[in-house]
Amino acid sequence: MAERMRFLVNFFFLFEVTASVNFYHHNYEDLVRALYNVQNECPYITRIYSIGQSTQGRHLYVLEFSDNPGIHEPLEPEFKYVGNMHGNEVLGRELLIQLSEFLCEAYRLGNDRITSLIHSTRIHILPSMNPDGYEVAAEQGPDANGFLTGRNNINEIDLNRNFPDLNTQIYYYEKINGPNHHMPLPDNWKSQVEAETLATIRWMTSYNFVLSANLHGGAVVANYPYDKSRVRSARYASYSATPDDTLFRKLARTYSYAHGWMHQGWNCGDYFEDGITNGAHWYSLSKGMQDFNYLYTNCFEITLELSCNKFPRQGDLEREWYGNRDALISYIEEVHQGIKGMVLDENNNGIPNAVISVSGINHDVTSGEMGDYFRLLLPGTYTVSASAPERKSQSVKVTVGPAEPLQVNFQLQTDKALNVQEEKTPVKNLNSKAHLKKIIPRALRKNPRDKSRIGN
Amino acid sequence: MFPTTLVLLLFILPQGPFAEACPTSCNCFRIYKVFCSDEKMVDVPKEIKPKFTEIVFVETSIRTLKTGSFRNNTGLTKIIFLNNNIVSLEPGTFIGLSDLTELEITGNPLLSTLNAGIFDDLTHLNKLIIAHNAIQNLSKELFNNTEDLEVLKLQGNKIDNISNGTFDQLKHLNTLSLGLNQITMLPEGLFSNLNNLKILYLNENRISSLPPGVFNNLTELTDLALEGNLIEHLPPGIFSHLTHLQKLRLQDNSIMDLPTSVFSSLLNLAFLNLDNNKLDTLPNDLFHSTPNLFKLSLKWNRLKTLPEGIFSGLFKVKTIVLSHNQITSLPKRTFMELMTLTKLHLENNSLARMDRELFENLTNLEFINLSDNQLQMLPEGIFDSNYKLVLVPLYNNPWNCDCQLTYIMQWLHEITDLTQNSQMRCESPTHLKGKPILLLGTEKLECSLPENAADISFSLRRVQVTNRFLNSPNLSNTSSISCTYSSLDGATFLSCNIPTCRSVKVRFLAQDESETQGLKYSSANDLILNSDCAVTSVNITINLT
Ligand SMILES: [Zn+2]
Repeated sequence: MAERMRFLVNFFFLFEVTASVNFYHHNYEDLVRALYNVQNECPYITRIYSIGQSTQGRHLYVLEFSDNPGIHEPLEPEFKYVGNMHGNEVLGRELLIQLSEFLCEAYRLGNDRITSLIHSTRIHILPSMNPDGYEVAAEQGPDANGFLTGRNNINEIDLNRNFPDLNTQIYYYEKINGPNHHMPLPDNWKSQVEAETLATIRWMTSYNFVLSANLHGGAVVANYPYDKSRVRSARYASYSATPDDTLFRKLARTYSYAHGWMHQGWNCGDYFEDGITNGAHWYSLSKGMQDFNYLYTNCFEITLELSCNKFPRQGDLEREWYGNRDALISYIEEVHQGIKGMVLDENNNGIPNAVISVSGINHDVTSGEMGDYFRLLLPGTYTVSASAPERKSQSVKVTVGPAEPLQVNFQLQTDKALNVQEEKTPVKNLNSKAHLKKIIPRALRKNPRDKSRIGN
Repeated sequence: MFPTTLVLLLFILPQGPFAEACPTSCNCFRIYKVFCSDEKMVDVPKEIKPKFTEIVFVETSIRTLKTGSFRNNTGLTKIIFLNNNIVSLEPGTFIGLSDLTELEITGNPLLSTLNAGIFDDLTHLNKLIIAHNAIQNLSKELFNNTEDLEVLKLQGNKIDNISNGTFDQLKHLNTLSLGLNQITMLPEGLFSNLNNLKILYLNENRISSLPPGVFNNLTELTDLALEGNLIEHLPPGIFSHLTHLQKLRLQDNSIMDLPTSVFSSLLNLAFLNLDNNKLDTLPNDLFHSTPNLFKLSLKWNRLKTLPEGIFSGLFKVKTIVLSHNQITSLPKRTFMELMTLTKLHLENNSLARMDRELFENLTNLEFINLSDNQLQMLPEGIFDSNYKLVLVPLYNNPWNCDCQLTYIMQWLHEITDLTQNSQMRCESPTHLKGKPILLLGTEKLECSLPENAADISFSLRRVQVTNRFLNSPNLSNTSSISCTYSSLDGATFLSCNIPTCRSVKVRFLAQDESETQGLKYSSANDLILNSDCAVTSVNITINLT
């Protein structure tokens, strides 16, 4: 109930802004014009960049919102939304255009919630990952019977079955205590994926994304990893939990409860409790983008199914926008939870690619180029450790609260300095409420894989 | 039918592969759309085949649009330039494009002038967008030949004045955007021929006053945006012809007062925004002829109160925003008839007391924000008829945490509105100051109730400064009270422990004047002490002079 109330409160605060937006289906040219219009209306907080081109040569444009567009600020998390991966599932594309216009207008009008969101987050919006498929679907229009027309890219490839399969590896490693993050890609992966997929993977690796959602249609439910079942050749669906299952369920519920009707569960003739589902529990899907995010990058992604009708009529777009608006904002705000901080060397230089492990959760994340890391966590007490090659790793016990992320910094000495004293870890709570933290000797760290790394 | 087929074949065959050939470094779609986004492109490509009808340039390096750029493409219907680096348009750029219906040139920070006659060839132009450039002047003849224009958007330039007659040929115009420019004044007749105009944006300019008749011919207007200007006064009849107006945005100006009947013709007005002006009073009848008003916003003004009945007649209003004013009190009947009202913002005012009847009959009210005011209490039953109320932010008020707060506290617990008000704290009494109210039990909300008071009455029969100890005083209700006394040079100390959560009344009875020399005390002044629910220590020092 408390969770519900919070959404309601936010809803009222957002309602202050009356966006003057037009609700119509945007073809490629309309989309580009809409994005550039936002960029021109809000030049100081936006940037447009292309992550590459579709098979037919349409740009995959991303609109970025940030108080410093184009720059990664240490400790400011990167967030992304991806829409229209299936060309005929168009609501996500339209919602992301509306969201862009809304963020710009709300910022200009001084809406507190949006202003602080943009000041504390770098938001990347890719309204259409499959612009070629969209044009094919749009030619049919909303009432087309061809259920699959335009779903795939122009080479008739389903982009959400086109990412390298990393689940098979991770399910094997789970059994033998192998690596638990950043699975290696097969050597020939580039030749096996489509242009849109390749561009998206390159994008996913050139920014240290923390949280993401992939917007689809055809049902109304928030779907979280894994999509691929652990049970080989399973005829029926089976729940396939990640090590971050409770967190993923909370992320999915954040969307469904802030959504106008998703949380009610009964939609499009299906029932999903709380409006959420584990991907594999619904149906098993291999080579999807959601699992790839989790297994190849630091990014936590869920898949949002947003409308029964994949290509809603123009007249329904306004209702859909108001049903999704607060959910889209609330979900971005979820990037601010858990812990984050710097991993530094003895000269206070950031250490990139340091591994951050949390005891009890068999999924590590790594620090970004500047040495900053972000680890989404639910409230609780955790032992967190940081390690990097040829450095002594360090552990700390932290208590995470429900509000702002706790800042936990690490300073890793080179292993040669055999000073085995307990290192003091600077810990600062952004919330300004002091939390008690104890420094745990590193002997308590449990992950065997990390021990082997320290040895190097 | 045979001959016809033959003729068609003759036309199609030679054109075949060439018709689809796309200019180098551009992409072409569906045989009619060209999309150029090569940053190395410095000129409009010459080899665009006539069959293409739409062309889009995004972030190329084109600096000049040369005379006859599209000479070979007279069939073009749409040309779009987004964020290129265009500095100038040569005369005759669009020569021959009489089929063109849509032209957009947006996002060129160095493009400052448009030559007169530049659009003269575009006789069928329907939509023209010249936005976010650096255009300073609009020549009076610029739109003389574009009589078909329905949409004209000029926002985000540096236009500072527009001469009368500039738009006179645009009889079909339905949307005109002049927002985000530097316009200081509007000629009275500027819009006089725009009888079909529905949307007019003049936001974020430097307009300080409006000529009284400037909107008189805009009888079809539905949206008027005037926010972000420097307007101080509105002429009384400025909107008197706008009977179709639905949205009026006047926020972020310097409006100091409103003429009584300024909105009296706006029968269809649904959204009115007057935020961030300098209004300190509102005329009684301001909203008497706006029965369709849906949302009214007046935040960040200087209102101290509102006239009784100002909102009567708003039969459809759902949201009223009055936050960030200086309102100290509201007449009992302010919101009396607003049965449709769902949201009411009164936060950040100086409200010190609310009438019990203020929200009576507002059965659709879902949200009232009363945070950041001067409220010490709310009358019992104030929300009793607001069945749908679910959120009432009440934090940042100087709440007096006594029994009068019991109603509101129970009400908050009932509707589980706890998240909003976790920061709601007591200001008084002293022993509860700073405590979060929702964490207190109702039993802590105590009042000074004489009938529940523990009385300590005592008489000082003999005070001898030289004695170290006083005689035992007379105490009434002594059963559970233990007191000790001590006297040291010139002062007497009284100390009692009283096991009660209510209040303690201490009464001095100076019985024998002769024996209590120097003790000046009037028995009319009982000492009432409020206590927390625990054993309370009362320490009294009596100075003997
Ligand atoms: Zn899909």
